[in-house]
Amino acid sequence: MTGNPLFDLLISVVGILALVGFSVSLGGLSTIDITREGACERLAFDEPDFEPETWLIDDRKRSAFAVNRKGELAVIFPMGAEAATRRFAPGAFTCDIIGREVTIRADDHTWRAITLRTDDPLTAARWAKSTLSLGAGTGETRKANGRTGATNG
Amino acid sequence: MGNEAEASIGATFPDIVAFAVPAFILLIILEMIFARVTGRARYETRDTFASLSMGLGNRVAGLIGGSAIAYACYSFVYQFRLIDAIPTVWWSVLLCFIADDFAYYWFHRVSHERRWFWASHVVHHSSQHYNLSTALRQTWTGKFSFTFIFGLPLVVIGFSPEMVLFVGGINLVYQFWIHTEAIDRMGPFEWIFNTPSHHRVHHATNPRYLDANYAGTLIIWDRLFGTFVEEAQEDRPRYGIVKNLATFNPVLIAFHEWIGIAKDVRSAKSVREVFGYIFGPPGWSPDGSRMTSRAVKERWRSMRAAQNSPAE
Repeated sequence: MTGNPLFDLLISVVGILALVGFSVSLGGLSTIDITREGACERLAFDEPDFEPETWLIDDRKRSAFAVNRKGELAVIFPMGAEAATRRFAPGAFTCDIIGREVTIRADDHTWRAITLRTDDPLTAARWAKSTLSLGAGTGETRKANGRTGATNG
Repeated sequence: MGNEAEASIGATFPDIVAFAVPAFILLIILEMIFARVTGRARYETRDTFASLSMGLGNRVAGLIGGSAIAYACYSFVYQFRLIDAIPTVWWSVLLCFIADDFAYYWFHRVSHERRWFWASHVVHHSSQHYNLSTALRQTWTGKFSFTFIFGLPLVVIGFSPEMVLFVGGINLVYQFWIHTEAIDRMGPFEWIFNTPSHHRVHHATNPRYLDANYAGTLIIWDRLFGTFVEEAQEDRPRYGIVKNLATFNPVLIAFHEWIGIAKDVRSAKSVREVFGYIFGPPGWSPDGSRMTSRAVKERWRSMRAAQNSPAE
C-alpha cells in the first residue's frame, strides 16, 4: 500500500484494532448460554447418532455434559456466540470432581479443559456415579471435597 | 502482434488485493452495522479478531517468503512454456482468469479432500460465523505447503507468472463479497457465478452441504463436475468444521491441523498409516474410528432413510 512493508503492517494492526473496537461497541462480545434445550439441539446436529442417557447442566449455563449408553461423553460448551461439541470415547478423558465442580480433561490440542458447576456437591457425585456405571470415565476420576482417589469404571 | 508480444515482456500488474483492502474494511463496517440493525448477519468480536488476525498473518507469511517461493517456482517453470510470448492484452488476461478459475476449482477441491492441503485450508473454514471478516480468515502456511502448484499448468501453457498471480488476486477479491448472509438469492446470476448462497453451502457443516461448491468465481465448474449443491430453504446452513475449534487463538487456528498430523504420524505403525494420515482425506484413520466427510454424509443419508421408512 505505502511501499514500506512495516508501515503497511502497522496500518493493518491499527485497522484490525479499530474494527474490533467497533465490533465491541455494537455488542459483539456476547457468550451463548448453554441450556438443556440448546445443548440437546447442538448435540443432535454435531453428533446425531449420540443418544444421551444422562445430562449434567452447568449452574451458570456455561457447559453441559451428556453420557450415552456406550459410556461416551459429549461436552457442549460456548464458543463466543455459538456452541461447540466434543465427543470422547470411554477412557479418553479424565473427570475431576471437587465439591460442586466437575472438570473434564482430554488429550486434545484444540480443546481446553471444561469445568462445570452444579447446584450442589451431591448432584456432581450422583452424576459421576451414574456416569461410571455407564462405563464412562475409565480414566482417573477424583472425587469430592479434596479427598482424592482413583476410580476405574 | 509484435507490439502485443512485446507488451507481455516485463509487463507489471498491480497488487490488486492490497488495493482492495480499504474497500474490504469499509464493507466489513457496513455489514457490522447491517447485522446490528437487521439481524440478518452476525458478528462476534473474538471471532472477528481471529479472522482479521489470520488475514494479517497471511500477508506477513507472503512477505517473509511465501510469495517469493511461489513466484520463483513459477518463473523457473515459465522457461519451459509451451506457447511463447502470450501478449498482455484483455483477452489473454480473460483467458488466464478463466483457466486460473478452473485450476482454483481443483486446488480447492483437493484442499478439502487431502489432509496435507486441508491443514492449510481448514483455517478459512474454522469460524462458526459467516460474514465478510470470514473471507479474510486465511492460511499462514498455504504457500509453504505448495498449494501454488495448482497454478503451474497455466505457466506451462505460457501465461506469465505475473499474470497468473494477478488473476489469482482478482479471484480472491471476487470471493470477498460472497462471504455474507446479508445477500439472499440472486436469480439467473447464480447459474454462472459463485454467489453468497452458493458459498454459504460450501461453508456449511450440515451433512447435505459437505464437499460442495468449490468454485472461485464461476460456479459452472461445480455444475460440470457434479459437486454443485443448492441452498435449501428448510436446511439453514450452520458454519464451521465438523469438529469445531475451541479457541480464538490465531496461532492455534493456523497450526492446529499440522499439529494433529504430527501427532498422528508419530503414532503411526506403518508407512501406509503415515501416508494415510498425511495424504488421506481429513478424518481418515487406519481403523475407521474417525469420520471423513463422506462418512458423515453416509451416516446422514442412512439416518434419513431410516426415519423415512415405515415402522415395522
